[in-house]
Amino acid sequence: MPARILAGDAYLVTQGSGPYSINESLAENLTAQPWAQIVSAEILSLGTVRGEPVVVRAAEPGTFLVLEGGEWVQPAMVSDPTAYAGVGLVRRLGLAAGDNATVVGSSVPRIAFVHIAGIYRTATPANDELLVDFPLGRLLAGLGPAAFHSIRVRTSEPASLLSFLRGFGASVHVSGPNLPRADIASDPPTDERISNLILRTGIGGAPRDYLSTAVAEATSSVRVVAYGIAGLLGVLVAFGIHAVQARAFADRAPAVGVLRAIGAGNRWMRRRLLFESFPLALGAAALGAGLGFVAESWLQPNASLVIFGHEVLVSFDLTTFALVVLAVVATSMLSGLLLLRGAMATRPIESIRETPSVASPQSLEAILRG
Amino acid sequence: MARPVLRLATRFTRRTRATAWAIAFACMVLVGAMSLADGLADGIGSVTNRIGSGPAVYLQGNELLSSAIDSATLSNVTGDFVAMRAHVAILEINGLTLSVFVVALESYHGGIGTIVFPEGPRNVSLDVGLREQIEAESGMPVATSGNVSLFGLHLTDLPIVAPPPTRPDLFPDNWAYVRPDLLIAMNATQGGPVQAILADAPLDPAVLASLRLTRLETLGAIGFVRGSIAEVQSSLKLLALVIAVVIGLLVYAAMSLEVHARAREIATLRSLGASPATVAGVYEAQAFVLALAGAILGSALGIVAAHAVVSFAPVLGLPNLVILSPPIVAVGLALLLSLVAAGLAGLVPSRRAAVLVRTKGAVPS
Repeated sequence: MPARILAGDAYLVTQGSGPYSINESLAENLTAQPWAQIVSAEILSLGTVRGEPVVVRAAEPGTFLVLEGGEWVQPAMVSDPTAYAGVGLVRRLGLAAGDNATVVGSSVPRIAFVHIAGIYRTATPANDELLVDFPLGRLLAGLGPAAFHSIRVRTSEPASLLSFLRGFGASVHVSGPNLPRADIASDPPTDERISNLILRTGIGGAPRDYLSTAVAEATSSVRVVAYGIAGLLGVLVAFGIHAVQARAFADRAPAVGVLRAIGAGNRWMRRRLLFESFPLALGAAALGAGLGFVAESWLQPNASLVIFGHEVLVSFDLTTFALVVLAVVATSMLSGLLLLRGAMATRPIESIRETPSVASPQSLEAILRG
Repeated sequence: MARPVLRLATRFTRRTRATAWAIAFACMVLVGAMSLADGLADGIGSVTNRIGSGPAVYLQGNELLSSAIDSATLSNVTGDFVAMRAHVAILEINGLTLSVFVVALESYHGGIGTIVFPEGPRNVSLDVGLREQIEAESGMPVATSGNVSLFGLHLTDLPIVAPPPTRPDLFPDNWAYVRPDLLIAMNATQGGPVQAILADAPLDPAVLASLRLTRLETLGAIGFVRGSIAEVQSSLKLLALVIAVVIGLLVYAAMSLEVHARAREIATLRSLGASPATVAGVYEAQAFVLALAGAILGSALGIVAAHAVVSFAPVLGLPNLVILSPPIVAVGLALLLSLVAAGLAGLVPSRRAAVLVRTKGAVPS
């Protein structure tokens, strides 16, 4: 998600460890290059609007929309080009074109008011953002005049981009599609987190290192919570699979006894179990994972998950799907083998017997007799 | 009869034990997830509290422009503060028609308000950024008078005066400033209430509660992270709902099977004099016992699991701001959800148990 917010599918130029280079001069020179199809200089701010976390992006609206592949839902009114809101943000906060809203500074205390002049739609995380002009972006981010946070470039000639930046003398990091990160006149970045870019942009950025570190740690700590919840849900799913299989297996326990009584070996039994249950487990896992994806797609946008001000967009990822199916099938196989081992530990004559040899102490008779 | 009924209600069979474990795992997920999310919120809170976040800004609701604090109550607020009124207006100047934000500031000291700027009752002060915009768009110096439309009124020939001599770093440079009196005179209902209170130090919590004020975090990064964690916490409410449904289904399935398997036993109980209500009570109580046992076990497992995640996170190289505290709310929610879900889910099977003796198959042979 942070990479999609920062770069999308374009090449991203951010500040290196040398002199401050992400500025109007670099943006203008990049725009003038024949190989540069789109150049979008941007400033990102973390803030809140009406109590909800929102990423406020300063960019030239037309260029930004072309880069994001977006469109105007409600074009800007001519007289008040103050801010534009993405459809996702409009839906989340109940905004409308013509509304006024309060925005706050990112790494410096600020209050400003914006007039929502237009609404746009993109199929990217930018759909949940607020787009403002550069003076306001600089006010909120605490940046000096002519400075930007990043420049996004769309080009089919990344080698020309790198060559130009080297010749320009800019101290920058460049990354993008099929391009290993390049550090031009700069040391490698020590921290590539989005909060670092936003709050500590090298020279000229906000010098609030404690805040920068705190926000970076906080955003990364969310992974601890996310992995923890995923682990707990994994345990729940594994238990569910085992419980369902145990119930089904209980009915087959006598069959195990009969098979063993007529000479079936342990290895043959295991192979048979795997052979019989694998297609069912595979089908069930694929069906379950598929239903999960369909249900999520159906529930969106009404029950969408919003993380750090951005709606988590559901997209079908074959690798994730395959991993989920693999995990479920592996759990099912393991559970089946455990159940079989338990059944094989029982003597065949005990497995085949239909009534317990000893009355249960929990039977009605035992309870009524005290 | 009471003692055997109690023993019947509290007995655990292999089937119900498995259900109790399933409820325990479901509750473990809820308590563990909520503990982790609450712990992260606490950890972030403890860090952000140590970061100076500028002046304290208070408002009613979550949008400054629509906040409306009764100005008559401001004398009850102790300490020094600034009362801020802010409205959207239309400014006509230099042949331009602009939408501007008009702000009026009133300093309070010892409960008494003082207005220092602008001096004249009808003066409008345009800040430097707004002046530059006007000059750039009109191509001429800012005129000495202009018209302002606000609250449906149109004021003409208002004197345009110099920018404010001092302006807090908190504010941008493109606002217009007027005296609060002007706003009140134009419309006492809309111009009278104050939109925000600005103070250098946090206000007394009792005053905040009485005026229903909330603090606007002017350092957005802090508000952003706090709000994001709140989003995670609110997402867990959906998880709680899902877990309640899962527990309900588990209990319904277990009790239905239990009633079905014990049809003969129920008939025997009825023949021994147990009323339908007693039989229903046995199975309803059994559902509650199941849920309670599962919730207690699950809560304990959830606490252990959350501590395990937090302890092992640094081993995996993950940064860790999570500060776990006793998850009283999470455990309470798990118990409540389990009992309510079990109570509702147990109603149908227990009622079925109560009327089962009338059916042919249930009569003991």
